[in-house]
Amino acid sequence: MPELNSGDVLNSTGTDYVTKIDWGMATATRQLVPAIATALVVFSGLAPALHAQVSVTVGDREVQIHGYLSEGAISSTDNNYLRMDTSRGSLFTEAGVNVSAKITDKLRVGAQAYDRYFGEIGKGRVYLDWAFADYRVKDWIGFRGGKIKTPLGLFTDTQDQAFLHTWALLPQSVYPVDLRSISVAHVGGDVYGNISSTRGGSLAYTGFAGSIPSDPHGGYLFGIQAQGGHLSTEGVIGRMAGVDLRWSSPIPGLMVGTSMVYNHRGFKGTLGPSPLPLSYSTTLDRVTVVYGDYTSGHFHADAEYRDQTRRAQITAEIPGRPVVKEPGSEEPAWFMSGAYRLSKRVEAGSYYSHYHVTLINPVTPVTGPGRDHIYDKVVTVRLDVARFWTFKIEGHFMDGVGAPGQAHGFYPQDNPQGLEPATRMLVFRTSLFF
Amino acid sequence: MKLAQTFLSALIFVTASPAPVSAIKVIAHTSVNVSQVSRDDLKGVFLETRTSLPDGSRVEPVLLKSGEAHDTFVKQYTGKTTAGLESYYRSLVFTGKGAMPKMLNSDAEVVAYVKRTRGAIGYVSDGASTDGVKILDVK
Repeated sequence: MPELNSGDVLNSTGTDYVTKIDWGMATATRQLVPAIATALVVFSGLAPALHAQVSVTVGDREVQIHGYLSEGAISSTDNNYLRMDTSRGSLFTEAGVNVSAKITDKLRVGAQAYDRYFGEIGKGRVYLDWAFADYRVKDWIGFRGGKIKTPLGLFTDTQDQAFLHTWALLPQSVYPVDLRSISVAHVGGDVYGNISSTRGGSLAYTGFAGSIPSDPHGGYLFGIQAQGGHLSTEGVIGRMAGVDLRWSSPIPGLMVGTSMVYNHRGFKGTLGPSPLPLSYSTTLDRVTVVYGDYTSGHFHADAEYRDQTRRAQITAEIPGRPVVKEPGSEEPAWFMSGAYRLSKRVEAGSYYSHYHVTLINPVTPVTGPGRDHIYDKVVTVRLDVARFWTFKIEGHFMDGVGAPGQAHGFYPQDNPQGLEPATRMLVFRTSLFF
Repeated sequence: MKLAQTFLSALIFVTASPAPVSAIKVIAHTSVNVSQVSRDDLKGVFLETRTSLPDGSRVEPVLLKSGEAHDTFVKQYTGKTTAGLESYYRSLVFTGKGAMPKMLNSDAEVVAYVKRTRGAIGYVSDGASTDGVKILDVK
């Protein structure tokens, strides 16, 4: 993807911000307009197919095929964000395609490929997003095996599909784009089911466990590198086990839920210029979540609180394996959002996103304003251009940049001049899907 | 006083009366053993949380793509808007945890599909011909 040159960098005051955003977005628009025009021509021709269900018959089985393409442009004041050169304007892409089929009344199989390009994140690599067999014994119990999207909180398993949400970017306190890979899916198994009662609503449960694939283009690795770490070729070994419960209450439109997951992560490498081989292993990595979703007519509200507690040991890989450091963190995060559908095609909304980090025995001391939090106030307008096509404009008003090892969007690698405590950002995003 | 009482009674009657909605019929393949279905079970079928009814009949939903009958059914029996329901189905499709249900263009197409598909449950306008399928009462 091309980086865009917006000319001279201006100071991030209010009026300067508007001028800088105008310049950056004008430049981004000059790049984006031909891309959108091309997409318009291509997809207008495909409109009837996009509106229809795409399926083929193999033997006597219907095989469904679905896909999406999401393109965006992002421009920020001063700080570069999400491993992109956003202070000069950047484009990003997400896409996916899946196939699935019902083999018997109880057995389904399917797979989805996924691609993302957020600067250094993803970098166009094609991932196996999910691939599993799903055997539903009864409505109250079923089993899945393979690579499965993890049901953690409201949107972990759907965070890649922007067209499903009001927002161009989900609240980054809870759904950081750069840290997607550490929780979005597991290779293992689920047991799941749905239990209904006449007056008590219905309860959906999922128990899940498996390994977490390492992502060579993800924020977790970039955060390690930000602290001077160099991984061995093994990458990051991870595994998780957890449970999700969501209750569709008897109150019309109200769903509440909770999730908990225990992770374990480890890797080997070196730190800084020292050749001493080290290994990092978590001793506690727990995420607890409570969330709620409410819909009434044209109004929709969400809220989620997610708390991550992490403790680890860094051990020297020498005889005796002495523990050289015991770092940790406490990272409570939450968001609240509301959106209103103004018409058949237009929805407007806003959210407040809150992330805080307390470091314990950090590998790299962190000082400076805004280094223990990221707060974000966001306003969005979503336009449903057609049944298969959305367009969003979104403004972000961010306070704080968090700690480098915890990533959450602000990396010293992309901000060698240092990080400003506040960031303003404008995001355009369009998605096509079938 | 009498006039005020009359006015108040009329006001209560008018506001208490349900707003007029399009009438629809819920239909099913003859393999579905029941003659009535609960609102909760019907909602579960169309949200793909139920694949069978309490009597054990395996069922699959079929919907209209648009129209008054579609709008009425979705609002009355799923608790979602039509856009919200489509978004819900897409969340199942793109997480692999469900499939896009059959969506057809007209009452006639829905009736024809339900008639030939074992376990199919759908809905049509009140005036649509329902030869060859059974009508379910929703309680």
